[in-house]
Amino acid sequence: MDKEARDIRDLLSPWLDGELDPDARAAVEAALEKDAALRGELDAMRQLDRFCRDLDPVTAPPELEAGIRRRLDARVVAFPRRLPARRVWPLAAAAVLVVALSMPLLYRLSAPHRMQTKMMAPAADETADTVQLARGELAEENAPSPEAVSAGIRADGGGRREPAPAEEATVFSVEEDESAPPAKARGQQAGASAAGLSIQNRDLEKAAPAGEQRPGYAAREKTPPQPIAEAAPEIPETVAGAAPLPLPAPPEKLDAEPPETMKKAETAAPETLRQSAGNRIFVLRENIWIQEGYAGEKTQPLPRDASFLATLVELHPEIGEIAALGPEVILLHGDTWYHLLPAEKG
Amino acid sequence: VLVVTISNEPAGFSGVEEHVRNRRSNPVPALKEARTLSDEALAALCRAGSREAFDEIVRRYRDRVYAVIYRYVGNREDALDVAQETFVRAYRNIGQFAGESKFSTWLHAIAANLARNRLRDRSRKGRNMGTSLESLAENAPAMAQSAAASGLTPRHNAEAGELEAALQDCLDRLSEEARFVFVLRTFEELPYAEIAEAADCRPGTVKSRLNTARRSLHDCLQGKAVL
Repeated sequence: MDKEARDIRDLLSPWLDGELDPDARAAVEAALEKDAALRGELDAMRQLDRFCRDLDPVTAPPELEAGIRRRLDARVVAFPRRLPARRVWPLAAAAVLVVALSMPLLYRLSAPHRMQTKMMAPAADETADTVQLARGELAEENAPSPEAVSAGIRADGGGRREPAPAEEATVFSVEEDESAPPAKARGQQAGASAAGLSIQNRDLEKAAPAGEQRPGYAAREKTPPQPIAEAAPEIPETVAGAAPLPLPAPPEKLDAEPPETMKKAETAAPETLRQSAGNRIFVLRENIWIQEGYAGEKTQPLPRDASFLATLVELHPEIGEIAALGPEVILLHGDTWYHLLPAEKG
Repeated sequence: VLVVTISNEPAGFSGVEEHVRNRRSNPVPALKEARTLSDEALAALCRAGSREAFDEIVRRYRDRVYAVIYRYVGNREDALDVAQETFVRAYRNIGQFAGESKFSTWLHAIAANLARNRLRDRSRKGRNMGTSLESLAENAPAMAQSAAASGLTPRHNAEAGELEAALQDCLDRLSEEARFVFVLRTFEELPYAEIAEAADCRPGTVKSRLNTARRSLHDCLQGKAVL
């Protein structure tokens, strides 16, 4: 069989299925008229097709749907597409809470060493120191003792120090998720997000040079005179060139009441709380995705099983995309703000 | 002039009032409208969390998806399992359906992947349930049920069962790729472009696989004196 005949033979299936362009179709038809073997092959294909179509249709067994439902229910798939922000939000809040709660403990752990080195601040200033410690605003003289540091208790993340070497042991860290930047880079981010908070052991050798003026210095000087201030220049010597570092906890106002810290986390990781859908921007507030521009107008409740929603989505497919943001969404359509709610029938 | 008619007829008689009353007391479920929606609109609703839209998708595609998988894997047990998983995966990944292809193509691609995995699992385990006697026996109740529903005679059932088994045996002898392409074309009547998308190959490859499949199947069925 020559190449041309082979090529024509290869076109029999598409010819039978009506998938050829007019030129190719004409070529096949011309070949069919001349070639009896080709006609025989085409007949065989037709016969096979007829045979297959004459078979009883295969229908799904009745248990198929029940099985699907069972599997879906077993997996508790409330929404097909889970947004990363929804997973990260509780984690970020928990991280802020953990760090906030651990600050007094850190302070207590460092207190005995301050006494040893006669660097302990007056009781009245304890709170202020803690705040400053948390902010990384205290200078070396007010930092935990070498022992405390060597015990590996140190907060990192304020970005005011060199990042810790990779080989240093991490005592405790709260990570956001795999998408968070690596610890080193994160340590350099000013006001790292709650997710980026980490308390790390740091090698004393990596301490800042003696007498280096820190941003917290000026602030510290505003407080009543203390032994800490006097000891300041001696600190590097005291620790033999390995000055204990202050505790620069990442977020500011870490000691503020929980709602404030929550707000902080929100601003620290804005990318997790803003979402674009249907060419609009939505912001997550109290588990509701709210379209930008919403200013507390009256909303029209719209359950997901409402037939009106089906119509809306049919006419405006972007509404479907918006509705997929989460269980509750406030969006503007026309002149009406709709509040998308979970299905009434569950 | 406003004419007020007082009638003893029930309020619902007017139609409009009945509609309003019904909607208030018993909101019309989305499913009723869902039957009139396009696949893509159903997918969008499904993305929005509507299980009713998903139920409609299942209702629309259950037989088609099951049939393709059944022809592909060759036995009822695996076909049922893979078909169920196909719909579950579709539901879970509906967000990934971008609407660039037809919904049916997307669904068939999921089915093809899962069915292919099942066949490979089976061959790894050395289990060939293709058209063994056990699988025929296993499929018999479903076939009988289907035949009974269509009011066919036992003789017809037996003949249909034989033909079905012969086809399935010959299908099992094809390569997985050729089998999938043949099933989508012959039983689903999908155009080549959609088959190529579902099978993740070029349309030219679909042509050659179909040619191969048709020739091999014809020879095989002729060898069984079925054709």
